Amino acid sequence: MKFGVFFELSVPRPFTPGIEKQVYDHALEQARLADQLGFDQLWAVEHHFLEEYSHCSSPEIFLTACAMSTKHIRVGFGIATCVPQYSHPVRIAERTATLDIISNGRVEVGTGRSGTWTELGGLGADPDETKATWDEYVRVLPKMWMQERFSWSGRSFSMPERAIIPKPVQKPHPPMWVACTSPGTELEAADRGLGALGVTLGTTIDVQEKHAAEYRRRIQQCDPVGAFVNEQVNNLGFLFCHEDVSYAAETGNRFANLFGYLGGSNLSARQVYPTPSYHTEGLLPALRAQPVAIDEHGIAESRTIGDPDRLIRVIKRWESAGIDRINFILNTAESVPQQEVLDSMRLFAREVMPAFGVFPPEPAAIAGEEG
Amino acid sequence: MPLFGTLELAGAAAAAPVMPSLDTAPLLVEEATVVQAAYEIDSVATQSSLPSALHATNPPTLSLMAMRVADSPIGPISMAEVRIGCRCGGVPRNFLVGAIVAEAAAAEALSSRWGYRCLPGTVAISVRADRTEVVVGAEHGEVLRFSLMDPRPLAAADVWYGGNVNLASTPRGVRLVHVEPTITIRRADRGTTRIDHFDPGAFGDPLIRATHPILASVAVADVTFPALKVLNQPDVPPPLGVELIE
Repeated sequence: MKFGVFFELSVPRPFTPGIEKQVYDHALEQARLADQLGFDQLWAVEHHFLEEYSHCSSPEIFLTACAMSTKHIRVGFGIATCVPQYSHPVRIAERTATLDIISNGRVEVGTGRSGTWTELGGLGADPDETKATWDEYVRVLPKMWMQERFSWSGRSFSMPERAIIPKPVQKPHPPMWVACTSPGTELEAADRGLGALGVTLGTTIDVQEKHAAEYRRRIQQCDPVGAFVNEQVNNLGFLFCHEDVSYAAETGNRFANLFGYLGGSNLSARQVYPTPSYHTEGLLPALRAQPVAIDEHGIAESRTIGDPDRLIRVIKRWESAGIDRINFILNTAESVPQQEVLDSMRLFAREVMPAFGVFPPEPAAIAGEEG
Repeated sequence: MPLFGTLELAGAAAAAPVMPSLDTAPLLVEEATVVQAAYEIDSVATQSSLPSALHATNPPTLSLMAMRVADSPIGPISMAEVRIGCRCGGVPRNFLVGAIVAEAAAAEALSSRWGYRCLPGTVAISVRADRTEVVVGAEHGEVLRFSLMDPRPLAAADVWYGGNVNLASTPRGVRLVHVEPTITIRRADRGTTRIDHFDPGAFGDPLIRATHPILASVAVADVTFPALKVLNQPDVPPPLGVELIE
């Protein structure tokens, strides 16, 4: 089991001067600490126009800042949106390769297609086409990274032969993933030999276990789009670790629920754009549809919120369900004081991560003595 | 937190329909023609159109919905709704601004049993091979004309219908009444949409201004208006202010 952190960069109203900078500064501090504590990876989303929920529209810049201030942790696009109105595939290949150079080979490339009318409509994208353009992008990106010269005649773009530069440090290319929010997307990841980057919160462990097993079966017969098969299942969760489980429950549930609330304000493509391309309504309806067991502390069984003992139990269960990595959302819209977020990370690193064989590369960071 | 509505409740409540009871039996309406069109609308005005328990979607949306059925247990129904896309807590809903209903019996049933704010008028739905047009009239003339153009067939699963929250005077006081009809599609098409004429004041809110068309659908469907289960206090943001109907 490996652990990561996942940044949405949510910003609370009112949008007072300096509040966005505070969110970014806090996130960068969390990234530095995660690196020192032995977290394996950090990810940043690409979202546009999603006020409060995510002010992370240029993840390549944020990730560059993270890479420049860390030593070990991998830096992931979670995701790069593979829709022409968002980015030409050449630009994605260039950006990811550049960051791979700057980070000295620490880049992970998540891919996806966006799910909100807020974004698709705002950028003038055709919801009917996003699945096809995503599929085309994931097939050309490895070629762009690996081939000295590249040309293409396709559905969403065509181009004459050009040298797409720079090339990534990682050979043959960085690991590729697919954001899995809709049921069945994990199978599309498997068919292409891509990692399953679970970004759906709140699903039960049993459901995820089934998805992971189907993914593992299916990927055995994949036709990989890249030069290698990235057979890995990442999950997403909220992290709040505190010695007092009641306090952990109150604080963790508060920011987790706020995250869901803010996410629910966005307008999913399905709700206004009748199409075969989007059959899920978004995050919240998916969560409501699933019965979730709640423990005696009021914490959903799958949530990584609680005292260290509870977290070890929950993560062991995730591990037995076939999950390779869990990425954690650490806060929502600054609703948890930054010091408590950092303390939660340290306690997790001290008491929980060793149970999974993970130890901090910079042990002094656990005591708050990081630089 | 999102920006909640600022609708002046006293005035809105005065125009709200009266529901003598919340004990409403379901009503099945078969083979209805249902037209739905979505538009983006001006965000500043939207906030003043919603009660303080609700907040607009991002971006704010207008949902125009028209239904025609030749016969039903409450007689023929010809209705056109003007709704604002919103969230009640995290729940996707549409706040009903007003509905023009041609038949008095249907209007009486919809308002007294489900809290629809019904206004008198005419509703005509014209389904043609290349377009579907909805024309709505009120006492002073035409108040809404919108179209679905270049229809293309869809599967039933491709279309989504959001439920209503209707402001009504109930035995528990003025409440937002959650009405989420079950719509079982027999066939459906979608197409681009255009508003040729819209007088939002005729539906009760002169500030609504459609700014960007999204898409429309037309379906033949069986519609079940449900038994009521949930109310919200209109001036209390959820999850506070939620009331269950036993």
